[in-house]
Amino acid sequence: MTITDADGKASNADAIIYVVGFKEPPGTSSTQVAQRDRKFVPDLVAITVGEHITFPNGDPFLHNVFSQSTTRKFDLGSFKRGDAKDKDFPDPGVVDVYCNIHPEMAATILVLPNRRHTRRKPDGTYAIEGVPPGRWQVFAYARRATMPAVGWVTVVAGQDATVDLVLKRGTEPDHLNKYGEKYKEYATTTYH
Amino acid sequence: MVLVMAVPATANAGRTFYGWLQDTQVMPERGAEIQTFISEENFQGPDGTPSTKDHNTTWWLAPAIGINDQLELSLPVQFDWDYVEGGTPHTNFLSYGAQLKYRFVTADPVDAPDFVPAIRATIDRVVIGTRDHWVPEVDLIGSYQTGIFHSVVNAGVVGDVSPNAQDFELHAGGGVSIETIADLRIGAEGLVEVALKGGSAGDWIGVGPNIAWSHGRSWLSASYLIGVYQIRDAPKLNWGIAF
Repeated sequence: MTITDADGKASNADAIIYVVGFKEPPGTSSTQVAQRDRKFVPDLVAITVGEHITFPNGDPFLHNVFSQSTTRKFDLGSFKRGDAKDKDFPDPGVVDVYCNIHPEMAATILVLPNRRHTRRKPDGTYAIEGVPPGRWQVFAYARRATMPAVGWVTVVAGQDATVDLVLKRGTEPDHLNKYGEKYKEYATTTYH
Repeated sequence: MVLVMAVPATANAGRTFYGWLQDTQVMPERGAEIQTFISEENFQGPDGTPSTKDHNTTWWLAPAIGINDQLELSLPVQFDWDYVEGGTPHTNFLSYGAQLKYRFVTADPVDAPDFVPAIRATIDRVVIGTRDHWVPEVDLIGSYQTGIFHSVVNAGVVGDVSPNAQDFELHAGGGVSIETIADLRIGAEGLVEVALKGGSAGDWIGVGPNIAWSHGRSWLSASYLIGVYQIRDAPKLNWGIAF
């Protein structure tokens, strides 16, 4: 698959490719979205409906992770380095996650109806194992994507199928804090 | 008499959709809020004579913090303006204290059950009159939420404990609140306060409408209770702002 940035140049941004049209129960793997160096790591994850995500704070200061997405609203409060909070995701959809203290922190969680999702490899290829036979829609999504890329695939038992997807990324959109307000801009003070 | 009436029967506050009733909402961990209320209790008196018509206005102010996602601590101070008709008005810095509210189930909007139980315990030190004067209070709170409909029940005991007297009062109430538009809620509530030990001059029953609104970091709620027994009216306004 191919990803281009807003300036038209090719991008090696992280992307998730997933298949929809059927449901599966959640897997047993655990997923983490850490807070490290004022970033969410990783800043894009895909899970199956019913799975949990753990949010550990690896920074030596407080973070307040929250989401106002209609798919899953939550407010983890402020927690310190070494602490972690856990959240379940019972409904499918896209969940945008932010920190109420640090506006530069943003992550996206894709809550998907089945376990047939994967990450794009550095060479731009991807492989999704175990898709049942049938005709399914395939989506690709990267953070800052202007919209998901979509294609159709017909899966026949015992055969590989290929779908080429093209994804365009824009700029990081502004977001509001958990109170629905703009983040305060603090002046930078230089000491001599 | 004046001193007993000057000690408010209930000193409830905290984020709520109701005027006089406690709710089960608590702040997230390390959340901080300034909460305040102003309330009035305008007593009719048992026999209608002016000397039994006590008018009491209370201003309650507290910083509140979330200890964790289910436990909230607030540190209130109270000021009181008390006037018995025909007497001399008194304005007092009435008390300071501490209040803990514990919600027995998660506060997560998705995982929380419809029925939420909570308990609140308060101890206030009264700083007028004798030095050893305390007001302990314990409340059980239950809320039920389904869709736009929210209801709450409260039951609690408040004491008025000093070397001269140990009085206790039961208060119980219930209310409903319905979400309308743009985070505006309307409903109704009722409250009963009855002396378990001590004089009955402070007993009262009131019912009336309530209103609540929240926006961003601010919330407010109010009710106007109309007296059914021994009180003419009892309005109350609660307000809070998170940081």
